[in-house]
Amino acid sequence: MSDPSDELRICPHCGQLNSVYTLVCINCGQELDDIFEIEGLEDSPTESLDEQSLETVLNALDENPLLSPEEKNVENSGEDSEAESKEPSDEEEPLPSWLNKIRQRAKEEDPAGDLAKAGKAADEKREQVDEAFDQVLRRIRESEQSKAGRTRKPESNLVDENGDPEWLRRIRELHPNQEESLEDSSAASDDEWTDEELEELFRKELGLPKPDELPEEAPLENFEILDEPKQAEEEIAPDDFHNIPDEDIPSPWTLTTNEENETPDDTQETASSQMEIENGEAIAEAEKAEDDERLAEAVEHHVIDDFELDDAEASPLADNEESDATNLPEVEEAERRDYEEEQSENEDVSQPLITEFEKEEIDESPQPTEDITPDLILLRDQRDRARILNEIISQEGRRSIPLPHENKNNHRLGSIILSLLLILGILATILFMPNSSPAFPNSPTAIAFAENLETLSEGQSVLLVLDYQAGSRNEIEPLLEKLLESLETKNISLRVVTANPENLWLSAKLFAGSPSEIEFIPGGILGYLSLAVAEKPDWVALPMDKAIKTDPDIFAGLSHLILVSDSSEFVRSWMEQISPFQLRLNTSVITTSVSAPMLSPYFASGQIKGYVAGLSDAKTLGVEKDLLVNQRAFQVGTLLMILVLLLGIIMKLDEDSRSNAERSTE
Amino acid sequence: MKQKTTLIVAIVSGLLMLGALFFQPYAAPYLALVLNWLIIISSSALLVGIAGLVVNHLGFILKARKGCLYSLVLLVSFFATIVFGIILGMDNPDFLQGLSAILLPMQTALMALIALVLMSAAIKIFRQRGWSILTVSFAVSALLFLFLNLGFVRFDSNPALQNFVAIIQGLPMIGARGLLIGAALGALLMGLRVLFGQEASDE
Repeated sequence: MSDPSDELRICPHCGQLNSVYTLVCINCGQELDDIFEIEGLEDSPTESLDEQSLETVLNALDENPLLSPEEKNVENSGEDSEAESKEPSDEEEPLPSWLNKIRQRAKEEDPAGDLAKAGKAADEKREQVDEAFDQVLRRIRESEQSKAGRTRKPESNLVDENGDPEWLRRIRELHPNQEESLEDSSAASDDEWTDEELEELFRKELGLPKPDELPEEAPLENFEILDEPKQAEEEIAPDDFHNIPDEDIPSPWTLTTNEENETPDDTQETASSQMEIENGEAIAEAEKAEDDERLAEAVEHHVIDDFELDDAEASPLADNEESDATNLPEVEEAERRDYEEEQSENEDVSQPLITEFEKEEIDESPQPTEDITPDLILLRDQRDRARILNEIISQEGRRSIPLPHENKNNHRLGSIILSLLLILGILATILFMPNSSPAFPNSPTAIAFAENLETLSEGQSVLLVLDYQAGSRNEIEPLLEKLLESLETKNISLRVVTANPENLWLSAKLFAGSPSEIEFIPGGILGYLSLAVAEKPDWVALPMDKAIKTDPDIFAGLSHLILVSDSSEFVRSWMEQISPFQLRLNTSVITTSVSAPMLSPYFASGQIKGYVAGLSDAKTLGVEKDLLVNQRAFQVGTLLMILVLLLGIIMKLDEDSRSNAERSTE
Repeated sequence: MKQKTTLIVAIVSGLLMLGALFFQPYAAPYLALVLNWLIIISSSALLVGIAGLVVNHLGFILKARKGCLYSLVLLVSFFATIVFGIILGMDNPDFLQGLSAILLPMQTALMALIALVLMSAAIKIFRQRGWSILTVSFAVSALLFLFLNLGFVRFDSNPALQNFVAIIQGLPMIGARGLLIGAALGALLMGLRVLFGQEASDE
């Protein structure tokens, strides 16, 4: 929380108060200093901030005893001697160069020493306020005591064992609460009087009515005196800017000082030290000054019109005494004499008071204060600017808002362009390739399948097991169709079975003109296994025998077995579960390209004599022309898969580059 | 006791199958009989599963549960297939043509979806898994074999390079063999656990 008064700065040209962050004076248009400059360093032609780092400046500011909190408390204790003792020590230490520059600049900007004068005058007046305040309190108490003594003049000669006169004891008996309240309040507040307490105390002691109850004539008299110093203060403010709180500039009512206690030199030192110490608290006490002024007005009113008030107070008392004095004429005369003596004494006291008022009004102009170092006046401003500069330097290089990726669109555009180029390459490959069959080499497995098929001779039986889905129909059925043609050409006895009901209608067209029919084997791989066991019990009929319309022994008389399946799992189950019961069969497979790799171990081990996998091996069976378009489609699909993989790699690389760029920027 | 009964049945069945395998000429009739029992039981289980499916979807329709329209389509198509199969017979060409008209595009679309999923996985594998040995080896091998299977590059003129390519093309067989051996060992261990009562399949 910064006090608003902290953000004020004075225009060096016209003296107008401006905001700290104002670059141009609002009154004269004078260009103000840059907020990022530190006073005392900006005009240096030889040294710059680089020579004396900011850290050194801040450390020097922090180590300055005048800015330390402990030293600020000195003001509260009122020990001027400590402040005085610190000045020589500061002078003994070698001053940093920036401090010398600040002082030099301050002297240049303020050669007449107006700022220092104002500071000194303010401090001096503050001391005067304190002294006058104490003096007024003493006189008020004395006058109260004297009035009480005057009313009991005939008994004034009576003195008790404590040395107190009789009239004093009577007063105490008549006003016990006032004294007790005074003692309690003084003990409770620990010698710290608040403004309200002091004002209330004055009213009680003097018996004055509240300010709103005061007669209008009394303040009018005082306002004539009070308006003049305010006017003087307003005249000083714009020209002599200082960061001393306004409360330190005393009001005219405090001009009754005890000049005998302080010499002019002491006053200057005290003023400068207090000004330095109180410099940090100046703004915080600004509001308090207004309350002091109101209190001062009340005190001034009592001081100046002391006699009048005494008269006003004395009159009712005198009336009462007159009523008493009818019976005691001697006492009345004695009281009148005492009253006249008291009046004469009060006139002697009040006369120099008014004279001192007039003197202070005359002496309102700043006093010569050439000994005050102006750099201390600028410390606060300098510290604030250094703090701002430090914050700016600490935030330098940091990203306050997330930086949008500048090359994001470029990266996306590059990815799109690259994708389009790859797609165009695929299309060009498809469209502009020579219209001939792709030159695929025959795979060893396909060659082995063809060789195994060639071993078939007329009269042998072949079991064809179907197990494929509709989705792989276009990849398998051309091969199956070519196989059927070959088997039919060789007049091979063919038996077709399936455990997949789907193959009953899926392959029906292939066997439309064939004598062979597709037989359904219930139970899936378990049905094949139960049939492969071969040995049937003589004592019971198996359910499987009743389920199959023809001969249940499907493996009887077979020399070759051809599995037509798009599932490597089916082939694996057959080879692992059923083939051990039918080791004599030459097994070969027609499958898809996807399932081919899983069958390679069985081919390598000799359990499968050979297999053809998809359209890539179609050439081995002699099917080329009709499958050319499908082979192109296969190539396109393969190219697309390559493209997708490359895009995945490119996207990952792009993402890595973005993350690396963000890290580097961070 | 209930658990022990199932466990005893499982152990006895396994031992019988092993005995029938090792003493095949003599135990083959018993093995065929047991397998037929197994087929019947599995077929009955399939019917029970179908009945449960129908009941569940009927419940969805009666409760007007969200998505009950799909249940209605399923039940209508199911009962229509049964009715037409019983009336027309499984060998009726019209009936088979109707089934083909439904199943063929459906499974083809499913295969296409699988291809798209694979393509999407190929893109995401690098972004999700990052650069690791697995992803890099996958990318290199996939690109290599896809490129070799395209048929655009021939090494007929260079027998040494052709042999090298053949060795490379044999790498999938090594992987497949490893998978098959691993699966066989897993099945063997599972069978042994069942035989020794370590695996409670009914739990």
